[in-house]
Amino acid sequence: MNHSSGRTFLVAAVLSVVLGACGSTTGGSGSPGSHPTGPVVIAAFNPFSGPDASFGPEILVSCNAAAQLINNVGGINGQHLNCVSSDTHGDPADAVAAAEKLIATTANLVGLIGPSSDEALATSPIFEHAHIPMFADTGQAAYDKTPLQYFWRVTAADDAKGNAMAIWAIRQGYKHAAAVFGNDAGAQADVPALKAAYAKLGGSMDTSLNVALDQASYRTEIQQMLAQQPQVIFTETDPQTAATFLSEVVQLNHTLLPTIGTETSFQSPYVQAVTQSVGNDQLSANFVAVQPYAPATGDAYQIFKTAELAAPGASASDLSTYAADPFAMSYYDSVNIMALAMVAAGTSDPATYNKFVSKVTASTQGATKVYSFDQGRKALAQGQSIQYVGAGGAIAFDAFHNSSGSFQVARLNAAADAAPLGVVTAADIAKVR
Amino acid sequence: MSSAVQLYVSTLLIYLGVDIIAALALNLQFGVAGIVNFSFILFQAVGAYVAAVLTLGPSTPPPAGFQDYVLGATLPYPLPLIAAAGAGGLLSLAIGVVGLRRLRTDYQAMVLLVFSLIATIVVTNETGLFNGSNGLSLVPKPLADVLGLSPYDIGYQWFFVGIVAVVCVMAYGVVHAITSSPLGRNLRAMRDNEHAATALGKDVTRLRMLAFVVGGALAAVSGALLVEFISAWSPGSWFLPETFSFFAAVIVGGAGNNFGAIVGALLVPVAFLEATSFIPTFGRAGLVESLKWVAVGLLIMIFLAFWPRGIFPERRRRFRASRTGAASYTPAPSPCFVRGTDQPVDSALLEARSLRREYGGVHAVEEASFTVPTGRITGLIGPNGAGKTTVLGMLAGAVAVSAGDVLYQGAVITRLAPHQRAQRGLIRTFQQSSEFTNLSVLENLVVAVPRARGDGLAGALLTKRYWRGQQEAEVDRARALLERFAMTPQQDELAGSLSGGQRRLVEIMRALMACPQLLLLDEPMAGVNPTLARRIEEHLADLRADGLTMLMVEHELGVVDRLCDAVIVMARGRVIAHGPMSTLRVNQDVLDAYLIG
Amino acid sequence: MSIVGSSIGFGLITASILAIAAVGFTLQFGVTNILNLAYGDIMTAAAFAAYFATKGGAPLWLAAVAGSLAGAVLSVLLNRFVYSWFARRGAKLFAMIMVTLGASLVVQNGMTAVFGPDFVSLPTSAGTTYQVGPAIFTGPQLAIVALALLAMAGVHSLLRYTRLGQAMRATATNPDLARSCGMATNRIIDAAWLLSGLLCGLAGVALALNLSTFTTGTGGTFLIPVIAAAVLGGIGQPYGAMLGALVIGLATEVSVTVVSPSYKTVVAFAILIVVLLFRPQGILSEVAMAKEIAT
Repeated sequence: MNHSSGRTFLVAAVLSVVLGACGSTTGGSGSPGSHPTGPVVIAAFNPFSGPDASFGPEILVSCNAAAQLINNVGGINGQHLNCVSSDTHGDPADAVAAAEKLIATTANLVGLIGPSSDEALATSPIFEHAHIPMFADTGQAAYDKTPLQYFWRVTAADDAKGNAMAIWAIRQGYKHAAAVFGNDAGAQADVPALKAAYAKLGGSMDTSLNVALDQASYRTEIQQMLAQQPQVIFTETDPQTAATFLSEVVQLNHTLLPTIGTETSFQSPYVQAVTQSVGNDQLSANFVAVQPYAPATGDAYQIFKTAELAAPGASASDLSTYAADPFAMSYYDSVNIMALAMVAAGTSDPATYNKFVSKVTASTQGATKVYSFDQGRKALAQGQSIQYVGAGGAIAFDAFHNSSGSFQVARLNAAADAAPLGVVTAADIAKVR
Repeated sequence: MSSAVQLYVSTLLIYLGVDIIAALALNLQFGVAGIVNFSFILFQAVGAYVAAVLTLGPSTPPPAGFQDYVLGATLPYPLPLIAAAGAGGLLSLAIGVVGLRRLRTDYQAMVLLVFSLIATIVVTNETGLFNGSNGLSLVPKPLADVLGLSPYDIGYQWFFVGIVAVVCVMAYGVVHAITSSPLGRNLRAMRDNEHAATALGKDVTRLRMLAFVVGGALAAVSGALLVEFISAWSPGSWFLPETFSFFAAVIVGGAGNNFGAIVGALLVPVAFLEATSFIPTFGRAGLVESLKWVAVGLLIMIFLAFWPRGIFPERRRRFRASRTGAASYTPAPSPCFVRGTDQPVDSALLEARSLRREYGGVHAVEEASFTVPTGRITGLIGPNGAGKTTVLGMLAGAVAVSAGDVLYQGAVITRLAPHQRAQRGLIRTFQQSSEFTNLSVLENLVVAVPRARGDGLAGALLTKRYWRGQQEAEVDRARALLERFAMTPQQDELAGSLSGGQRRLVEIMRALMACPQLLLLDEPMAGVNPTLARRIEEHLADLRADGLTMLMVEHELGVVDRLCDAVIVMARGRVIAHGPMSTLRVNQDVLDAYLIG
Repeated sequence: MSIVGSSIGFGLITASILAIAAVGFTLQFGVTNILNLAYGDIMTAAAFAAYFATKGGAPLWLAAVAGSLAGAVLSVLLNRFVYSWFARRGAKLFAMIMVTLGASLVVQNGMTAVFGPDFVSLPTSAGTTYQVGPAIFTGPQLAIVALALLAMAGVHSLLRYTRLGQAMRATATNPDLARSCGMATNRIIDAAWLLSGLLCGLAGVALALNLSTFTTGTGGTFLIPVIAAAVLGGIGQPYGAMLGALVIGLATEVSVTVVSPSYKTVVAFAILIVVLLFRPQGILSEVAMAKEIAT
């Protein structure tokens, strides 16, 4: 009968899919512990789909940029470096399976860029257990004092970012402010530190809006906010909400108030949405955002920029955005740090080279400053100790593998490579804590 | 297998188990009971949250920690799992009370969808509830410390597979016990035709709540297992689309079939959605993801188009041959309808007092007062649009009265719900065919039995041993009835596949199985071939002889003539005459009504 | 200057968009008995049609017309080639809901696959604003309110004064009766999809204008309040949908003056649930009830 043959076919199809999956897993796996001389692999373990789908591609491109430079000079200890993607969907449950699959099916997986805030807490123990060093792009406070040995954070913590926003506002003389944050995880992480620091510095947060995302209108909220006459708006929301909200601020206030955003404001969907809704003039006149400090000058940056702009897998406009993005720099630097640690350790075995990560970045007495993988490789070959200074500047890991950095403030506008207006240093932040 | 591969395979097995439990739960709600539960994922979420906070220990809000939540405790395993089931059940009860009692099916679906969104907003904004949008994380894995295993070791992983397998088997046991029991039959009858189930005395609100609560508890269990495994849970874990992937699983596997639900869970959430992660990414970021959901949408539509009953269609339940041998028909095979001792023949069993019904100012029935004498067949006739069916509806309780009262056995029953009236022996049939389409003919009959053993949750969970004995007796009674109406060859066919006349017969037999004291028949012979009509007629006469009272709407005046002791005539919403047919034939009002109407 | 007063003004804009969308949605359900979950995605498609029209150099009003027509055409096609096919095969109410759910997934994610996840905008001259009472509006917003009033008046006169409208109402109340009275129900159903599709498309364009930027998921998100408005008014009731839209639109906006803005949608949904507790068929429920008895 028709039905039963269809049924048999379907069951067979499923079985073949499942078996195929198992087949490819067994075929591709090398047992951990043995280290053949095939290519080593670093994975971009981040969302490539879902609300944070823009994270993954930038990581993969930046990883490829670094890998190309590394492979051009003969790879790591003679081994070729490959970058692969692993999509977490931004969902912890999917990410756990993706992590297990990545570990199971990837021969010579030696490191990760990731996980992001979306999945870090669920997956970092898995990689810890598998002895895979991870260079996470999460700012979560949970990792401020993490016991994990294979966890490294080049990105700044969220609470530091909140502090930086407050410091910048006070520097501009804004004593009355409104906080407009989405009710999503990323945005909410900044709020407590922002409020605490702003109050400590003598500012008054007259309005604190926790807005529902993607609504048809925020006009009443805005009218209430404007009634308090804020001098500045602190904000982090998703692009759709920001576009609607800010265009309605312009509508009701005739002009955009001075606004301080976060690094998410520099992501291209946000820039795209907001420039279209409020116009580039309003935006560049009034909207600034804080993001991790990267000088965007110097040897390391120039090498990064050239490599990033030549990296495969993204459009020219995306590449030029990435080339100015401190996060792209941090991803690129992470790959270089792992690669140099492997060279210093003389092996790509993660359990061994993980101990060298802080050694190749520390500014110890007599260490040679190097600005690229090639320079570091040569210096190490001559028996020198090195300090890798990345495209985003020097990186110093503390006892908990965190690197406290400085922040820069830049205008947001359609042309991505605006010069920073100023810097909030790590020392400034330490003072308001 | 290397241990890394084992880790991955065991992870997939754990997800499969969790998805199977969830699919079984949704199958009970949607496949068996017909509830379009668009908030399904919410119940998985609440189970996850409750299990997590009861494992995590006391809340550690910032600045000391980073998680703020309610109910923090460290309960020994498996108490968090059990508590999660309880929480899922309680939430289902609360939402069901609001959303499932009085609303139409389509409104129910929409209200449940809205509840799901409200829950997301509340959990996201009330950061003190379950740590807001950051969600809960670092949930300790159950029993890892007791066993002395590292929770990320392959040994522990297989242990967890074991836990999931045990819970899976238990969940299957519960769902299977329900679906195969008289309770499950009632649920399926309700799904196929709610009004007809009500008219047989089934409390559909209670039935629906029951399926909803059990399904909600099971969904919560699946969520609890999931959170114990992945050790993190946040609003991102229960987006609305997750609900749709479970609906796809149930539809693909076969709604109403538990084995189908299991296969659906293997196919859709595990194989289909996981297999796509092996597709190398191409095109722009997120392209594969959108194509994946396009495929899920197409999968749902293609199955509904070509295999609407899924890969494994709902099982057609057959009953074993009677142990006592071939049953012989007796007119009163069961003690279930008896003439009440306090109701002498010809006394008023039912009385309608000035019934009125209007729709938006239009009177469907203006004034209807009459009595139905015990032990007699009373006819209700009148031209089209006279209001006969509306009157029948008001007597049975399906149509609310605008004014007036219905008295039954001397008591006012105007405010009683239709199923309560049916439970008192006031059983109606419908003008339009209202068989339970996806039940077999025999099941259509057996389902009508009131107060059957195993039609409650406890009885169903006691399994077959508890209810089989009574069911066999009732099956015998049903078979005898089928024999009488020459329907024995069709007993195992789906009622929906019968001819129109056969469906009428099923409906009458079904009403007889429901232990009526007063049968309200709405054109019982319409669309039945003359031979069968004759047989129905004879049978109705037999039933009268046995003491059953009937009120019959009928067009065929010949039938009325032969069968009815007294006749009520309605026209334009009013009762215009009352009496034996012989006198009515010469009544000028009646003649006018038929000529003009 | 009263904050409540201006929030009522703002609420009217949201209510206007909701009203256009909800009347279309409810007509679709009332006449054809299909609860179309792909409605929001057709709204998005219409907004994209308008967007591409402006890209091709069309002025905004012409783009709005193009969007509305796109909504109408897509709705008719969706019914002709998908929904009616299932209906002919006897798909029951909840099977049909699943079909529309599948269609929604296909349409929305199909658009994401084709158009990408980018944010796009209709070009509006956001410059001029107008003070009306306590509230400030932009030109497009006033246009939205005017369009909504026009559309409602149009729907009202169509239903009230034309044969087609009366036939639609009759079909909505009792399709079998309408058929037995010799009405060409298939043509009426086509007309209903066309009309509701026009409203759907218009609502999509209005939403895109009001949001100032949109993506492929925009209409799908907006569908929930649309459904809430339609259900609140009593599904199948155009006048009920208008009333429901007004209540939901005002409630979301005015509630912000009292509760945290993150709960603005919750307030609207809570109103829906409370109303249904007391009037299970929605506010205007007579026809819905009569219909249920007839089936």
